[in-house]
Amino acid sequence: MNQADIDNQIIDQVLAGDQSLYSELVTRHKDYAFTIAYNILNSKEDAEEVAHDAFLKAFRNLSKFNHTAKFSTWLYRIVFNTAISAKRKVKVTKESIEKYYHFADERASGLEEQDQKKYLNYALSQLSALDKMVLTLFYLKEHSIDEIAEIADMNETTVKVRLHRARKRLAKELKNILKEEALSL
Amino acid sequence: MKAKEITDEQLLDYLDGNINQPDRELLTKIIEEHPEVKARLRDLEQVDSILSEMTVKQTSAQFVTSVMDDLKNKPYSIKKGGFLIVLVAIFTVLLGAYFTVSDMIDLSIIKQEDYYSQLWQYIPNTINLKTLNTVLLGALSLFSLLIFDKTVLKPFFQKRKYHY
Repeated sequence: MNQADIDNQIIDQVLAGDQSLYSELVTRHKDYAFTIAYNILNSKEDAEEVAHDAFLKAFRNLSKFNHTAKFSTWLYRIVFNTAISAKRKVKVTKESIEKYYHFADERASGLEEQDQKKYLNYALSQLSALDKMVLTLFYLKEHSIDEIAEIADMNETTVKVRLHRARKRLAKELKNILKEEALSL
Repeated sequence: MKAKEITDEQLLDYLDGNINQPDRELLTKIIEEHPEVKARLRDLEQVDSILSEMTVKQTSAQFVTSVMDDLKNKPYSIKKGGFLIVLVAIFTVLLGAYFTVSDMIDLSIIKQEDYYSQLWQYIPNTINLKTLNTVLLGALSLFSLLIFDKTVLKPFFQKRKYHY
């Protein structure tokens, strides 16, 4: 039985009245939902709040889930929409690159690798929320292009074009950032 | 295919393994022979390599408990806007019923136009304003009941059904 079938079984039991089983669905998808929200909002607290709200919304609308798509596809669409609403409420402030130093992967071994990640995270912050979500879903490798298209509410070709443009832009931003950093030394 | 014609999209397809074998061999040859194309590929590879290390982040330890607690305490939110719409509708219905008049609207002026004569043979010469008023108020009452059901009654009964 694959993951989608397990999710559907749990959903059927929750709709039959066993609400406590919803905690299983939350446990299975919370980290992924949190990661999508985090990559859009760049704040752990905000991302957790968004993921929390998304799970509540998903529960309230569970009877409308039609089983034709995966539960995760449907849920991550809710997460994305909730994150967008939350992002609109946050005032846009100019952030320094140094903020993104803390977002560097803890596994990064050398200083150069940490710096690269810091700069890439800063460059990522310049992308639109949709581009960030598409990149997150693509690189976490749990969804195919057509599933990503469904989550993002666009067709496959558009997803591929967005992926290409986002990566091109990141490469360009990274180059510019490294040039500025070199000049400031 | 010339080096100048190679787009970043082609290089990304090359990176992702989304091109056929003959094109792949041709691109590999161009990349090896043209340092500027190689440099562009390297920039894209760098981004791809770092993004590939993206990992799933963890929520806090009490996340699941927090969600389930909220579901237990407030599983369904009754929309306050629904109450407001119903109140406005009831107010409108009451005012409309109180101030309704018994005048008639005379349609004979319009009916004199020859162009519309075939259409208007099915329409009476006058319309009672009170009847029109009653129909509109009835429609408004039905609409407000539907809104009340969707925003207040349904969440209330679903909350009772799932209470544990």
